[in-house]
Amino acid sequence: MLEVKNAKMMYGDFVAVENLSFTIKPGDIFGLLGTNGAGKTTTFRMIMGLLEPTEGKVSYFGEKIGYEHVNEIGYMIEERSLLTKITVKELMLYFGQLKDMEPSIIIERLDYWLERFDISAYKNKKIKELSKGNQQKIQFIASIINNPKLLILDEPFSGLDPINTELFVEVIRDFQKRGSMVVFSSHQLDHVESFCEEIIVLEKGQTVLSGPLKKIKKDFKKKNISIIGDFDVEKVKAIPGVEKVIKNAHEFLIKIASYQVAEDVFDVIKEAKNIRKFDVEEPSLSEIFIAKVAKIK
Amino acid sequence: MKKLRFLIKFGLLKRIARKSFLIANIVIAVLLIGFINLPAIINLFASGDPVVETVNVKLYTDEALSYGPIADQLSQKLNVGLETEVYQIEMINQFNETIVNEFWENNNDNILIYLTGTDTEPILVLYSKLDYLNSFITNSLQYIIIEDQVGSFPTLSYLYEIDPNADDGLSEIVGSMSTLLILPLFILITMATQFVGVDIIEEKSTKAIETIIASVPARTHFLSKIIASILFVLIQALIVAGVAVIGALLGNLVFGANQAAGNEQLLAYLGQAIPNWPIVLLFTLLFIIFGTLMYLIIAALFASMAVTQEDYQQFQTPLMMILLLGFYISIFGSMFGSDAVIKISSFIPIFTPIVAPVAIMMGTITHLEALIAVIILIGFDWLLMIFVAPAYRVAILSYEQTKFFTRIKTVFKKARAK
Repeated sequence: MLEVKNAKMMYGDFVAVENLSFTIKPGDIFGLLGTNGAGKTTTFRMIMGLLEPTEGKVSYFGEKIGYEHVNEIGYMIEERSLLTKITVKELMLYFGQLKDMEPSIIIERLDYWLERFDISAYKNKKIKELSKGNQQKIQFIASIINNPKLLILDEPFSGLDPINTELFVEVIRDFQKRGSMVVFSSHQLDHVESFCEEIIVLEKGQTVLSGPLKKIKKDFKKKNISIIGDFDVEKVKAIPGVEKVIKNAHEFLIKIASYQVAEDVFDVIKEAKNIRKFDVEEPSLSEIFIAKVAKIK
Repeated sequence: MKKLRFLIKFGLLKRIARKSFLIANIVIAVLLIGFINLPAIINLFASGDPVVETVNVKLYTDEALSYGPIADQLSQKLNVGLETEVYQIEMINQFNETIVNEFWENNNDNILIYLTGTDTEPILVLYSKLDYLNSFITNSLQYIIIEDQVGSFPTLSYLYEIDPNADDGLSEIVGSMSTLLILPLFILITMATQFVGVDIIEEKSTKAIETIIASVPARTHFLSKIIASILFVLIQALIVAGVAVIGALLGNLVFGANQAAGNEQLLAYLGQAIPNWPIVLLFTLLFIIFGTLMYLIIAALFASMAVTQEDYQQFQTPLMMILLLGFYISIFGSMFGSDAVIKISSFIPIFTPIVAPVAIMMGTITHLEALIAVIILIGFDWLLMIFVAPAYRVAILSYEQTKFFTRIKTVFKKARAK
C-alpha cells in the first residue's frame, strides 16, 4: 500500500505541492491529473522516494519510502527517456541491472515482452533506429521489466495507435490483476475514465479534486442530456438551468446546471415528435476537470 | 554499493570496449614508440653522417706522477675486444690553455686527458667531445692506476670538461620535457573532463536520467561518473606508460647493437635529465589523480546543470579556458624560465595538476612544496565534493533554462534549502 499523507514540497520559497493526501491499495489504478506545472512530476518523485517531502510523509507498505524500495517500482516518464545510441538489449540490461536484476532474468523477460509487443526483431537494433511508437514500447518494457509492485505511468499512450494502445491497456490490466499498484497520469482523460477507480486532480500544487471517480461524477452537479429527435431548441434554451445546447452530428447535447433541470427539459421534449433518445448522463471527466481547474486558474 | 560498482563498470566499458579506444591507442602506441626511438631511428637512416670510427685521445701525464707507460696500457684497456684499434692514444709533453683551446677547435681530436695530482691522490681532468665515453675512460684509468700501485689503492678524482662549442643537448631536453609531460597531461585531463560531461549530458538530454535516478541516488550516479573517469584516465596513463616501456625495450632490442644510437635513446636522456624521476613520477601521478578529480567534479556539475548538448558546450568553455591557461603557464613558464609564475601557479588548485608536475621536474618547487601543493589540491577536492554533491542532486533532475550564472545560483540555493 502506498500512502501519501499531508505531503508538502517546497523548492526554496516556491511551493510545488501542498497538503497532498491519497492512498493506493494493491490492485488499484490511481489517476493523477493536472495541467502542466500542476505538481505531478514532483508528486511522482515524492512517491518514488527521489524527493523527501518538506512536510508530511510518503509510506510504502508502512515504511517510509526511500531508495531501498526502488527495485519494486517501475517508472515511465512522459517524454522519451532512452539512451538512443545503444541497442534495445543493452538498454534493458542497463536499466534492469540498476534494479538489481540478474542479466539472465532481464534477457528472459525482455524476450517475453518483445514477443508480446511484436517487436522481437528489434532486440539488437539501436534505439535511435526505432520508430517513435516502438521506442514508446521499449520505454514501457523498461518500466515493467522488474515486475514492479508500484507502476508509475506518465502519459503511457502518447504516440501510440489504437491497436497498440489496446495492447498497453491489456498489460496494465494484467499488472492490476497481479496486485500491482498503478499510478496513471494522462491528458487523455477518456483513458483515465476507463482505467481509474480513484483520481486526484492537482492545480498549482493544490488538490482540487480527489476520491473515487464514480462519486466525483455523482457529486458534480452539472449533467448532460443526450437527445436524438426533432424538438424546439429555442424552447429548451429558455428553460432556467439549461446552460448550453450543442448540436452534434446525430444528436443534441444539452448541458444543465443540476439533475432537477432534466425534468423541466423532459417536459418540453415529451411534446415533440420522433424522439428516439433521451438520456441523462454523468458529465465526462474532461468537463469536470475543466470546470474545477478553470475555477482555480 | 552493488549499483555503484555496476555503474562504474558500465561507464568504463562504454569507453574502453569501443573500436575508437582501440584505434586511438594503436595510433598512440605507434607514435610513442616512434618518438621514444626517434634519435636511434634517425641515426639508423642517417648513413651520410660522420660515424666515429676512430677515437683520438691525447694524453698528458704530470711529471709528479710515476706511472709506467700509461699510453700503452690505456690503449690496451680501451681497445680490448675490438677488431681494430678504435682508440688511438697519443702522449703529449706539455699541457696549457693553448693546448686545450686547440683541442676544442680541432675536429680530429676527441678526448684530451690531463692526469695530475700525486701517486696517492691522482686527479683526472677529462676534456671530452664524446660524453658517453667519459665513464668508460675514467674507469679504465682507475684500473691502470690501481694495477700500478701494488699495495695501495689510490682513488682517482676526476673532473669532466664539456665541449663549450657543443649544443647544450641536456638542457634542451629538460626544456622540451615540459612540453613532453604537459601535453599528455593536458590531453588526459581534457579527455576525462569531456567524457564525464558528455556522459552526463547524454543521459540528461535524452531524459534517460529520469529512469536512472529513479533507480540509484544522484550521489551514487555522481560518484560512479567521477570514479569511472578517473579509472579511465589511470588505465589510459598506464597504457601510455606501458607502451613507453615496450618502446624502450624494443629500441634496445632493435638498436642495441648500435651502441651510439642506443645511448642516444630519449629515455636514457630523460633518466639523466631528471635524476629524481621516481619522486617526480609519484607526485605527477598524485597531481593527475587529484587534479583530474577536481576538473571532473566541476565538469559533472556543469553537465548536470546543462539541459542540452549545446548548453554543455557553452558551460564547459570556462573550464577549458582554465585548463588551457594552465597549459600555457607550463609551456611558456618553462620556456622563458618564469620560475615565480610557475611556483605560484603550482599552489593554485585549478592550475596545480598541469603546472606542478613541470615545476617539480624543473626543480622550481621542492619535494616539500610539492607535497603542500598536493595537500591543497586534496583539500580543494574535498571542499568541492561537499558543495557540489548536493547541487548535483538538484541540478540533475532540473530542466531550468536560465542563464549560466542564474542557474548556478538557483541550483546552489535549492541545494542549501534541502
